[in-house]
Amino acid sequence: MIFVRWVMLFLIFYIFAHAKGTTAGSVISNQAYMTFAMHSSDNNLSSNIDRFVIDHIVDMDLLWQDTRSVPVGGGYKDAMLRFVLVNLGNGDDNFTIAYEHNLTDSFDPAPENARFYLDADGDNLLDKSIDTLISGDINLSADTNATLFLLTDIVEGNYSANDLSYDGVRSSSTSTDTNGSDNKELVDTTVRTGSLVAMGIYEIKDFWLESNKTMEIMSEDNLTHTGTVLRYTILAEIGGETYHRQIDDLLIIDEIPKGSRYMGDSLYLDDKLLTDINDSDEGEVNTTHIRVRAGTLRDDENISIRFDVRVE
Amino acid sequence: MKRTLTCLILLSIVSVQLWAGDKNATVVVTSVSLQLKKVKDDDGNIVEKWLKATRVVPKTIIKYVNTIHNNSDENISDIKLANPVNKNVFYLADTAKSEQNATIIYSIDNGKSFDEPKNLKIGEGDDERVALAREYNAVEWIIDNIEANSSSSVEFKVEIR
Repeated sequence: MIFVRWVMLFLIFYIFAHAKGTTAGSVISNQAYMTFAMHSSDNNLSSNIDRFVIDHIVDMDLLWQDTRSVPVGGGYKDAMLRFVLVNLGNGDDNFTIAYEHNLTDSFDPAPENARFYLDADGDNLLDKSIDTLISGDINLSADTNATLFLLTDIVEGNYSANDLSYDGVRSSSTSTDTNGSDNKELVDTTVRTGSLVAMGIYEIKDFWLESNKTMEIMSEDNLTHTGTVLRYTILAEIGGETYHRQIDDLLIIDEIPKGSRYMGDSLYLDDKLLTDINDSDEGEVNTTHIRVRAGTLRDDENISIRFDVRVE
Repeated sequence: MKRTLTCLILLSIVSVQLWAGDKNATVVVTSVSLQLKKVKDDDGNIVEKWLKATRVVPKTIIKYVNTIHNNSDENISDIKLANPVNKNVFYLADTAKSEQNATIIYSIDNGKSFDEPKNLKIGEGDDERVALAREYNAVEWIIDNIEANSSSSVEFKVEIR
């Protein structure tokens, strides 16, 4: 019997670092003011106005977000790795995205048909009807980030269980270092990080956890307004060679979407209402996440998690 | 009438002379921002020098130097020189100095009032605390006297946010 432990994390950690301060191109002015007595009279005057300009720092961070290798099998389509790109610079920047594959890994043949999607709605979940296929540069303002989904197709091949494939993304800033004259009207670019690579890992399994998250707008006009209730449903099941397979200690964690508030006593595991507090049942809710200890998932089962939030 | 007109003309000349930008003015204040830059000295060694800031990056330390030029034949007295701290920088503790004896006080209300650091309080009730140096938004130097035909400088340092 093979014991496989999976932890499914819908919430991925963003390492938010602060951008590099004052926005590029800002003019910093200084002027002093003075009062004094002369000829028995009070006088006041101002100094000249001193100015200098803030230069542009190019800096970024690029992180693989999945918390462990992503299970795949031969013939698997749309095998997904998640990355986050953060603009740590102090100005707008354009980033070119390219696929990277480690040729020395144990995958043969390598994954094919690599393409990237941008998480357009910021929910950290891929929805091809909403998220956009990346075909050009990604523009990010200072101190903002973008989640990137790398999708590949796993070619049928002679794999062994636990073979690993290292696949990832290279991000390159299109800004260039233009150190030049001391013309204070110009903004130079200082490149601290001009290019970065982050790699994720696919791991061959003959079965894997499949999950799907959907949202239902609980309003008559099917639009979201302040106060609208949104119902999220997460469905999980075993994919691949499922015969006599099971996944133990399944933990499902999901983020309560920003700009919404969890509605108390709305967390369900299948048809069972769970309490919001951390007690003997499977569920627990805090201000930012729901957690469900779903236990063992067998090949002939699926589980569904449901909860409601209200838009603020 | 003629005498009044003469007085007005004289008054306007004095005003012009007090304007900072006039190099020939009787009293002038100049302000300059400096940053440490590596340069080669006459022997070809790389040394750090405070040079005029033109383009800088965040976290750079800037030294502001204000110089009072008393080009007149009279002493000036009761001098108060205030320098607001730009919102894109923050004041670095204990960096305000003066070439000659001066009382240095600070403001946390954009220059409406100044006081010693220990008296600058932020918050109310149980949350009240002494303001941090980085929360000062203006510095003021009080100097008793600057002699005729002399100059005196004050300075402080900030870090770019």
